Amino acid sequence: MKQGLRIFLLLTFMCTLSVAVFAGGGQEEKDDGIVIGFSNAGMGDSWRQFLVANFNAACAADPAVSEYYITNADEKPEKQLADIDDLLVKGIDALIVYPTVADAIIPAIERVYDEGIPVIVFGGTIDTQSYTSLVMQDLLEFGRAQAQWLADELGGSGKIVMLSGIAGNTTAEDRLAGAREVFNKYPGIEILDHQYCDWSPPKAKSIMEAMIQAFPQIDGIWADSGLMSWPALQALDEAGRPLVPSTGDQLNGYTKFLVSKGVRGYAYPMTTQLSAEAVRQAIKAAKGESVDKVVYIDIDGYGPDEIADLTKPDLSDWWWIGDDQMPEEFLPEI
Amino acid sequence: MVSSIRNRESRFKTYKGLYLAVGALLIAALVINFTTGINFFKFTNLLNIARSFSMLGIAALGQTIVVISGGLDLSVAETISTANVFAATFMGGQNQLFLPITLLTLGFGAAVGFFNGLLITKRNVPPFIATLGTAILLKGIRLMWTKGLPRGKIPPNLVTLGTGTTFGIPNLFFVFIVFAVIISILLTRMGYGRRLYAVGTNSAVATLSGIRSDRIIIVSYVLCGISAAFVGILLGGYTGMADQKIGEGYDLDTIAVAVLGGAAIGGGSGSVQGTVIGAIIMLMITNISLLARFPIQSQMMIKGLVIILALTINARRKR
Repeated sequence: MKQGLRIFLLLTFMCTLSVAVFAGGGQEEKDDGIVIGFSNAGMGDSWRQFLVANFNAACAADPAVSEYYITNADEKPEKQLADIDDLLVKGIDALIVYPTVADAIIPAIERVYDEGIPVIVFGGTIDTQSYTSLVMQDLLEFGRAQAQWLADELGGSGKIVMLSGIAGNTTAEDRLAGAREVFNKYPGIEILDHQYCDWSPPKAKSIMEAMIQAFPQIDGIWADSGLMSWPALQALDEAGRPLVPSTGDQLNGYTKFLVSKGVRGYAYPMTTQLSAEAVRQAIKAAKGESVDKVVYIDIDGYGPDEIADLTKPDLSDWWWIGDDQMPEEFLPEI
Repeated sequence: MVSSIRNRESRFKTYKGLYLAVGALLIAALVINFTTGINFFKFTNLLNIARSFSMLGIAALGQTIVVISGGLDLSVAETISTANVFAATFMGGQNQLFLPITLLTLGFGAAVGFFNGLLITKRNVPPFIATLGTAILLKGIRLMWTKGLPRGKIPPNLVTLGTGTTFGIPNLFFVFIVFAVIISILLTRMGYGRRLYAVGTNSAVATLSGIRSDRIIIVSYVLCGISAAFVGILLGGYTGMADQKIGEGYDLDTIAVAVLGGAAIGGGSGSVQGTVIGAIIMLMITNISLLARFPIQSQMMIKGLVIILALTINARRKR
């Protein structure tokens, strides 16, 4: 028994020593390259897959970056707090954060920022000034651009329906507000109805089916996402009603439908290149260069011609057109 | 004859609250029609409701069986989503794979239910925890498998099933009728149904009287899993797509419909008829609200009030 205990203790000591050597002394000597850490909110959908792909491609493309790490918080703020601590331990030179719940992770962000490490945030605003740069997509402009295209398409006159995401969600409300700003300038455009569809295709379809019953004439569909405009168009098609101009985002399933049916549409990207822009800002900050506190990423929407060029008829409905402009090895698996 | 009339009277009294709710909604629809011209009773509108009703109804019947047994199943939504993605991936848009993959997908649903049943009966995990855990596990497995990018394609004959009509009636509605008849026979004419109600009323007494309660409970979750997987397939036909989140909301909606229809949380009561009426009420509320262009806030409040009212009337009647 005593001998067994001795052997056990000896083995435990050797294991601990080995771990210490390889974790501590065995660590690769850091070169002059920039080490970037990306604390991602989650990987629960294809859009996030493209977000990560764009991050990886941007890091690999810049020779200044020697290492990059990604953590996945599974949409849990408490996990993201721990993830940020883990990234700090890895000796990062810059932190990029896509927040789960912005306010919940402020303590971790402030801790990193106070240590003099640049913090780049994207994917939402945050109630602290302890960050280096906030990379944003203007969601009001998102809604405005979509609405302007539809208004132009209808010649400033017509009956439209509006389909939004989740009621109260900032992304949905900002896009809606931007769209309403534009439609208010066109007295000839009548908004028949606006409903929240939770970005759910079956819900959008059943809501559109009800709208078709309620309104004998619908000339256009404003939807902030292809997840809703696509099934809405399906509902029109199945009801034997004419397919009308619509708006959405850069979802391949939506654009495939437009192309296959020869329907005009406008895809305004909810771009996954936010992560690539965040990488560019992180590299600048890590080099000591000046970066703007808020950086708006420039986005152009895709009209019918661009949609026809960018759509991938043979790829998944969940591909995000235009966001795949990267070396093939970084593209998400299909 | 007298006994048959008394049975009909008894059933009416049992579901009086629900019938009143349906009546109130029909009156509301008439008022809206007279005041706005929007016609709830238009044939095409009723067909649309029938389509949505069919899918909710099938899932809710599966949930009802579990609720009768004394449990509930919070993994319905994730089972639906996973089955949807699974079916689309392996059907690959090919009609000839529709039937074998459908059977395989139903088998997947049965396996999920079996897993839930085992956790609850053999490991004494409370149904709420067991099925919630299964839901999270399913979501993780699905995301790991798809890496967020659902693959596959819905075959044309499934799209026809999901969106097509026969004699002007949605194909989905025929599917629902067949499913409801099967479940009704199971609950009212077969030994399993009698034993299910006994287990739900008092599991310990049922066991003492020789009923294999664990087996009955496991079968109830298997049937719920099969119905959820079936709805996942049908939703693929309805939308024409595989979607990671296609089942969202079905967990709570199916519980609400089952309870609205008279199934008691705690077990021992519930029926196909009640669940059907419950689903009709839920969908009528949604449809009338949409036709009347009520904002989302009003829709939620109306839905909540009607549910509370119907449940209150039903609860009073049972005393």
